[in-house]
Amino acid sequence: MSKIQTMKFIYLFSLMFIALSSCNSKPIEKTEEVEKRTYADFGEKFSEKDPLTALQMLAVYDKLKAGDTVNAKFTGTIFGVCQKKGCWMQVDLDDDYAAHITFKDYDFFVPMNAMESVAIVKGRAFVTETSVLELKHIAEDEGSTQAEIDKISEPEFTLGFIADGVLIEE
Amino acid sequence: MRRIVQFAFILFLFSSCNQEVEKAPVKEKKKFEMYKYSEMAALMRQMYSINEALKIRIESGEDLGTFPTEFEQILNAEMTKKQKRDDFFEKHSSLFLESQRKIYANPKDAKALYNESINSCVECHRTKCPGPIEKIKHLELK
Repeated sequence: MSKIQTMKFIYLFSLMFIALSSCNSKPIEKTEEVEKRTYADFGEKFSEKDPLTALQMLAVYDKLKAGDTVNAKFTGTIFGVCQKKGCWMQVDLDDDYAAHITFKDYDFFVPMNAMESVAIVKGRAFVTETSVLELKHIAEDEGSTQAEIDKISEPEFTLGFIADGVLIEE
Repeated sequence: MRRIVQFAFILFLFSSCNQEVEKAPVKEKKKFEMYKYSEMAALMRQMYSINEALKIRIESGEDLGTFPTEFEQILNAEMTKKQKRDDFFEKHSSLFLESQRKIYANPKDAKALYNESINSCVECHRTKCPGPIEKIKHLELK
């Protein structure tokens, strides 16, 4: 191969490399767009940035005594929603614990089919005792059988949360 | 001629790589099912607003006006789905109406009678629907 042929080969090879590498970047950008979550907002609007994880929130609850309150923003998966109105929901903190979320001044509700969606909530966290009557009401809303409802005889200590606003993944 | 062939080759490379950038599938948004107010839920909110205004009139010593007869719709308004109009509800809705009539009939004792009426709301909600209890408590006269 002569010097001129070698130069032409390098020139062509460089052009091919530039052409192929410049088009490779576009599909990656598209993928990032698809993965970005979008949220529907309920109640007060707020930024989705930097919420505590569910486990971090559980650690916050662990330090609270009944009657204490603390402002917080955290994210987790919804595993229960009031099936009459969407006037409360429960968000998983780990396999054993969940936060019971109600909405400030009963002024807004969440979708009744939001189960298993990722949510971000902002408001006040507290620990409270839930009476037997209220536990029965929750069980009724969840569609429990009468036998299951009748079994409820002890109050429960609940990880409560009054949300000013809620974001739910669409 | 060679230059034309080179140019055509490069053009082919660019155009073929454009075909690879297919439109990514757009994730479908969830269709959320929101609660629509029943007649009873709408009436409850109306009664809340009227009692909020009544609280202000009692606090400022203004004329209380007359008993709002639309409250009587509590006896037959359509309930929220899955909510039962049982004996407990029938009894407590009648007691609530009576407690409200007493306020307007006895303006001198309005404060005490008003708080009794609001307490009756809280007690009924504790059994039937605890959600709005904290909101109802805002109505109490201190």
